[in-house]
Amino acid sequence: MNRRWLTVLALCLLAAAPCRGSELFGSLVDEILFEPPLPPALRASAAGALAVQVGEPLTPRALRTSIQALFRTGRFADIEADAVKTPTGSRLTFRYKQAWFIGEVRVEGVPRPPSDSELLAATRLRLGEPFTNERLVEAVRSLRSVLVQHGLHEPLVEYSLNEVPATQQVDIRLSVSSGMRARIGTLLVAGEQRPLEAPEIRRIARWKTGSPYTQDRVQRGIRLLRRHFESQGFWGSAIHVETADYLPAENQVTLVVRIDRGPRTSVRVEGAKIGPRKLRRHLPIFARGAVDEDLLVTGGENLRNYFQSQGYFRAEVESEVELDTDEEIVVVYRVDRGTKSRLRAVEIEGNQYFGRATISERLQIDEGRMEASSGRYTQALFDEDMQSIRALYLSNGFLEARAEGALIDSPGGLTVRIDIDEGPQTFVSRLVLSGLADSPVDMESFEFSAAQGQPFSEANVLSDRQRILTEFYDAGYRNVEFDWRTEPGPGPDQAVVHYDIERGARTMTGKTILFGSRKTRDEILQRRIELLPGTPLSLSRMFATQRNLYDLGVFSKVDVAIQNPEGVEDAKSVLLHVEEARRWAVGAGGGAEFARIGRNTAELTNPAGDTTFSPRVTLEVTRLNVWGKAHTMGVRTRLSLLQQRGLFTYEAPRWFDSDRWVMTVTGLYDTFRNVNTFTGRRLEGALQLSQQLNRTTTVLYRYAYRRTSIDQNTLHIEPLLVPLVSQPVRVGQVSSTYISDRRDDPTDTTTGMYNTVNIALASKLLGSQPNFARLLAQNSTYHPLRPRVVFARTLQLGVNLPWAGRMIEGVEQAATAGRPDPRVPISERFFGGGANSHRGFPYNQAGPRDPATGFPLGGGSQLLNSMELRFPLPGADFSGVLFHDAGNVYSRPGRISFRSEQRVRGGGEGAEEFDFDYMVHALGLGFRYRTPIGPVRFDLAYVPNAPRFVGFDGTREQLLMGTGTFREQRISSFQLHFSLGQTF
Amino acid sequence: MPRLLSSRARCTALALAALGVAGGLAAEVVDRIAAIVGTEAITASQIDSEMRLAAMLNRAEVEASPDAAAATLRRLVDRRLILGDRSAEPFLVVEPEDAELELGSFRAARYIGGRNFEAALEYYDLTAADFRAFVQESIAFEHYVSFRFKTALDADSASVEAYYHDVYVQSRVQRGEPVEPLEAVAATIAAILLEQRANELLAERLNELRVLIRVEILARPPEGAER
Repeated sequence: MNRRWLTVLALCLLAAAPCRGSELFGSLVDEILFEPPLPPALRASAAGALAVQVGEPLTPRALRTSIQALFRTGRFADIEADAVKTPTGSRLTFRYKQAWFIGEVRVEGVPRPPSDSELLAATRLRLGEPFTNERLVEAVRSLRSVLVQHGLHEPLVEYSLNEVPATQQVDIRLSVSSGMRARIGTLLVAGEQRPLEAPEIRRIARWKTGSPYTQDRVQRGIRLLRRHFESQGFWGSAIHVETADYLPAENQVTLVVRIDRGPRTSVRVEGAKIGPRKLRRHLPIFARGAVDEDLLVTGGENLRNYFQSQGYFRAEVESEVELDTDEEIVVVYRVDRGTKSRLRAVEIEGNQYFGRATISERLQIDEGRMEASSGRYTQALFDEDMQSIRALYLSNGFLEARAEGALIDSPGGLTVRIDIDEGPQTFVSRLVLSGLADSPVDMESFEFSAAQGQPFSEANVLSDRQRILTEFYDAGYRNVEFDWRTEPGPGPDQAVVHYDIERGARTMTGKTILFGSRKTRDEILQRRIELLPGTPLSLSRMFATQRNLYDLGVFSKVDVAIQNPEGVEDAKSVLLHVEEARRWAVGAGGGAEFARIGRNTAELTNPAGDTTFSPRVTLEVTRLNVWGKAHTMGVRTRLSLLQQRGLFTYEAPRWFDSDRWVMTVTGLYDTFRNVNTFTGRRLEGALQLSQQLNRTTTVLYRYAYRRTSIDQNTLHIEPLLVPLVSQPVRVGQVSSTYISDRRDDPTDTTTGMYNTVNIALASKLLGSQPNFARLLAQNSTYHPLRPRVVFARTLQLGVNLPWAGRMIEGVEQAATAGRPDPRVPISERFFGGGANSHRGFPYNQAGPRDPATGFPLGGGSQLLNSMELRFPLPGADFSGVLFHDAGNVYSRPGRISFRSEQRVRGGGEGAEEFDFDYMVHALGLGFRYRTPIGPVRFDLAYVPNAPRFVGFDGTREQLLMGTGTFREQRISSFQLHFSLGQTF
Repeated sequence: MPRLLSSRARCTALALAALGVAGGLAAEVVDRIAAIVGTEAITASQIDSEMRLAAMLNRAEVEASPDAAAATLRRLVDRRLILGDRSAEPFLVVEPEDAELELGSFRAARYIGGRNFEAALEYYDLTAADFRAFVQESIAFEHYVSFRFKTALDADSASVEAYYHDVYVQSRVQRGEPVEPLEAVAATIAAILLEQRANELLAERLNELRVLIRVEILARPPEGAER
């Protein structure tokens, strides 16, 4: 505070405030006015704050209390009380300036870096807090400082304010003309010791002359220099940019760098071998860049734990600083590994209340279950396990429980013996609650952890505390306090527990002010707000509202804050500031597929598929927030040699005004070659409603209408059937899918269950040419056997049931020949085989085959049972799989068979005809490598009963002319698959 | 300058302005916010009360000078900052009985048998409630300073000895008074040193609080005054 200004103020006050001497004090107050008149939003706050009342005498104390209470509401920036004499008393007028609060803050015109969030953080203008000119000046100053740090040395910052009287908010726009970013200029090295000269520093730190000067570049350069010294053994180097002076004429920054590389630190390990990388990981003297007693001891413990984890359970490690000068430090770790042992058993004694299983599941140390396994034991794990056991007993009322253990020699290895002394168990004899009189929070139905008869423990009390506080916060008690104490109960080992709750003042929700939205419809937003005026101000509802708004998927930012947080008010306004995301998004990508898929060429030679390389281009355009209703529309195209696909989607979440319903409309154009028997073209329109019943269960309702045509020149089947099979077909279908997903992680499941049932009906009534029903069901379960060892299994069953159709001719004949029912179009049949299906087949190669060409025909049913044992391999990210796949695609539902032998029937004219309705088995081994997008998968399958079939060597013309040759072929007994994600 | 109003209109405007001034003169400013400290307001009447309380404690006349008002406002701001800081230590509670006890001691010590206390209040235009509030705040202030700054302090023997030689002995000699041995005055010197250190720490904390907490003087200085 400026002394002279204070004196001036004091003069003003002395002149303006007759205060005590006023004859008006003591007179009855006739009327109380506010100037300007109070807006409705302020009336309630003001009325509650006034200590002076109409009809009562005006006193200095009441007046002062009123002014202070009015100011404490936070709604007034300045208040002056005037009084005027009236015939019957006095009229009091409060002249005031209203307070303003920070609304939307924008910083514009700054090139990156710095980021928008960094700039906003620098202003320290936080949503809902009081706005003052001082804060604005400070924000501008701080903003300049950040800009200078990023090389923008001559910024011009202008501000504009937009006052919104209805909400008492000020929107602040800070416009920055940043000018040119400064460049790195001269580099000087300070200090007498110069381990590196300037040119070398420039090269290592990548501080080239003329490169843009930013804080990120400077810090990265320092990191590179530090790494340079570390590579030479100088782990404690200190590198500072002492000054960074700006030269306006050159728009350059002169950097002055000081480097103290410190002594060279080397570590020698005697008595055992350990690689330099592991050594660096275990010894903190490297990471800290310093050598002291604590770090040496910690390093020794880490090394001991490392050797113990390798099976040297009696390992001992000592450390010594062999040399310590300004130039060099040499540290020696002497390791006595002892002999490698096996932890044969973990014995637990003295436990009565908890069984061995309950205690064992909390232990990290573990015996070696196989001869080759040492087991898991380190001193650190052992100490943590003892603490876990004690904590288990403590949390169940055993306040004096002790757990001690020792590593003892035993035949064939070592044994950990844990002795538990449980001591007495203390129970709660009575729980006394105070501070709940007239509480709006209903505690009657609460199930307290420290209720009467329950074991007493601090953990239970803390659990109750958390729940009680949460309940009161949600009821608007922002300042609730919880205290607890105990006293001895009436009997031995009993405790009376007291919970003392001080609720403090209750705060209600005033207004909810949502702003920043420009396109989104208001009714959409209002439905997402869970805080209603007059309800308690609940933090959890505030954050739920924020989450709801984010879930709309149209906002890039949702800030939630309380307006006037420090003000003393009964009701608080809640601010919701949203920023809409860009509504258009365009994405493009490329890739390639490399698999035995088959390209469907004119050649008929290789029905089992060729290994195909197919480059792929994708383009995606998405429009968010269509019509301001938070709907999404998008077009995705995918072009490759195997597929040309265009997909239009329109997704309307929260259909029927419910979070549980989503409506999706799709339009699809697809040219596909994923089955190498034919090339098809599909046009499809679909309407789907998705209903989420609960967290794990979803039901889909769908109507789809599609027209599928097959290029008859690509159809590799018996030539006489080509005209019939290649006819375009229209399918109108309703379907419903039930999905129950209880997996812990869909990309790499270790426990849980996954069930789906899909029922579909295609009928003339729905505009369909063929009439058939379809059932497709899957049941998968995952069972953890040991840490990282999982047994997983899945069973898939699918059937197509035709009941009438125009392609009725030859139905009976086909049935007896083991061919698929011709009433179901080839494009609607089941195809299977490949990395995500039966791994004994190449992609879509399972099931019945054309007797003339040997190409897959698809089937009327499918059955697949897969079992996997997933187990860890050395290396945190590697794992292995042993699997067995059994099943096939069958010609008809009634021909599903568990027979594992392929039958051969005598065909016409002496040709053999193979039966494909049998169960194909595949045994295999797989490897997985964990990545952020799921495991990368490599599977090798051996098929002992791979199908044989008759194929044709030659072209379609040769087949028609009867000049080619028929040859018996078989699917290879070894199949190799490379893919992403687990099989199921 | 173009004539925007006719002479009659100007006469009317002047008359209205005169009425406005007269009306303004009739209204009397009875109190106002003088300064803001965080979320609290210090009013002009508080400064006035504080000056009267100080005068009563000192048994002096109220000094109604700008310098005294400015000093009082500074003191009130500092006290408000410290009392706000104290709210972070919720166990430092001043019970009303403590204030009554302190008030009783003050009355007994300053006004024999408590007589004349009310007369003094009346003389200085104060109420008992004003005085009680002042006592309560003073106790809270003292509690805070003791807890925050004095509990961890200790005067070492070297400092006490240095003070004894550099300050105590010299001042005694200058004034021609007998010099007591170090052992006799060591405790007193230690107390003085602790008080000094506590005051230094208090000043440091006040400087920190002035940065952390919004302190604003609301009256605008006249045109040309230095900011």
